Amino acid sequence: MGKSVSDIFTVLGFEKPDIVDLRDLEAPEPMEKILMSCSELAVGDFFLAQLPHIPTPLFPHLEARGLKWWVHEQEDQSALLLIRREQ
Amino acid sequence: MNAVMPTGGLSLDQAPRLSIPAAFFLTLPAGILAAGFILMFTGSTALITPLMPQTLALVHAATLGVLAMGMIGALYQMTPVIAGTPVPFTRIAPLVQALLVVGLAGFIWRLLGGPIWSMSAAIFCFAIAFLAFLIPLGWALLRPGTNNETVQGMRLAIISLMTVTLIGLVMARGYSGHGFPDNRFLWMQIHLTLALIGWVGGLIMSVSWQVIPMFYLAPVVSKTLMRLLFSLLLAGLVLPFVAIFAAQEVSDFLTPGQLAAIGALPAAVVVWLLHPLLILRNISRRKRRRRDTSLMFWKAGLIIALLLIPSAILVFLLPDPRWQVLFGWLAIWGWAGMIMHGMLSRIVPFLVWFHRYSARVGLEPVPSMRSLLPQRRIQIGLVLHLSSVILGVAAILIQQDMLARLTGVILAATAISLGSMLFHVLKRRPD
Repeated sequence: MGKSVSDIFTVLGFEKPDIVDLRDLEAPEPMEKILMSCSELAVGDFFLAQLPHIPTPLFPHLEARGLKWWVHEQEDQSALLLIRREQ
Repeated sequence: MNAVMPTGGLSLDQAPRLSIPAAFFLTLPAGILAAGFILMFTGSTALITPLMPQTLALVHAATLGVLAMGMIGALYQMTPVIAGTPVPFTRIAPLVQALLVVGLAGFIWRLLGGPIWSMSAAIFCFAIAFLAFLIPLGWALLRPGTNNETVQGMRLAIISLMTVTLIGLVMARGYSGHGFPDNRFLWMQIHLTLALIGWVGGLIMSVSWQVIPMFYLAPVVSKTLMRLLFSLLLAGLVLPFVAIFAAQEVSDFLTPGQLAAIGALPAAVVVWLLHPLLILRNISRRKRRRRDTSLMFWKAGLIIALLLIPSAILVFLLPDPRWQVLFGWLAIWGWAGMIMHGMLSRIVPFLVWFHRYSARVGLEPVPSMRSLLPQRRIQIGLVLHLSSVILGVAAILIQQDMLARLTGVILAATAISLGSMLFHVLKRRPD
């Protein structure tokens, strides 16, 4: 990973959430883990995960739950996904 | 996409309803059953030469009734997810499906001795069905939100399907009281090359870039390699046309058909040698080696793919038409059929889980995707499918009538197994 996470996601500011590595899970396990974790997020909290690829099918679910997300594709096609509960 | 993507993208209503791909997938067992009945009733007559009407009926029951149904259903589902653009007018998908089914029934009926009008009706149904499918899908693929290598491969597959359909419809007129086109065998060869390599091969290859890493945790293929394989595939689909039109100036010794076959070589090497070797290697390097029967289908299909170039060389060198039938059998039911069957056993549980359960994750207990479809059911399908491939090979080589009919029985059993597997998964709903 060339850039730091806070360089990639400027929205993080000074926050440094742990990166949950979900790259060794096959579909749909990363989606399950993310949705489970997000159900426990408090308002304003971030959840940061590294996935094997951009999880396009997940995005509608995040939006349906009122979660805001940002995604960054890495050189190796894995993806960093940042999620925040806003309300 | 290297920049940070802001909130936005697909909305829930962009993904098609589960019922659209599911309806296409549920038609597949009927296509296999039709192929099984054709073999049961015609015996080895359908396995002597590719030009027999019974053989054409068998081939199209498999290509249109099985492969096309699965691929069209999958494209309706995948295009919005992979290309990031919804397919317009998906409400007409049931019409596409109904016209394909009616068209195929008329087509097979005519080839097995039915009236001329049944082929005319089939041509009409196919023309409307493919237009109603290709125009909306082509529209979505021409203006994708993401233009990755998979989208390019899907586009190539769709262009191939368009050309295959056009040539197929013109040739089918020969069975509806009109004449066959001049150079019928050459056009048949192009029809077959574009169908197997461009439409089926192009889609299998481009979809594998996504599904093999996603479902089996195999390494991702580098973009450079994907682009190289795509370029070779494209070259091999264009060169046969160049070869045909330049035939007289190029060679007095080779027929246009032989020149077209040589022109298609780069594409054949991609889909039946380089791609299978690459995916087999990646599968052997996957991160988590979990037992998965759907992966066995992929392995079997890819290993059979490796037999196709040697088999095509035999067709080229030996005059016996059995080799042509063997090549077709291995390509359609061995390579593409195995991969399609395996993909269904993985993707249908995924779609059911995604459409019916994923929205509840974290809010209430939901079953895991794997628990929706026991491996035992997939294993039965694998044994039956593989047995039918092997029995079919023996029936073609030995030309034994009983073997051919027995292959038909095993095909029917495979259809019942697949149908039962699909119903088992698709009926699962949250309590």
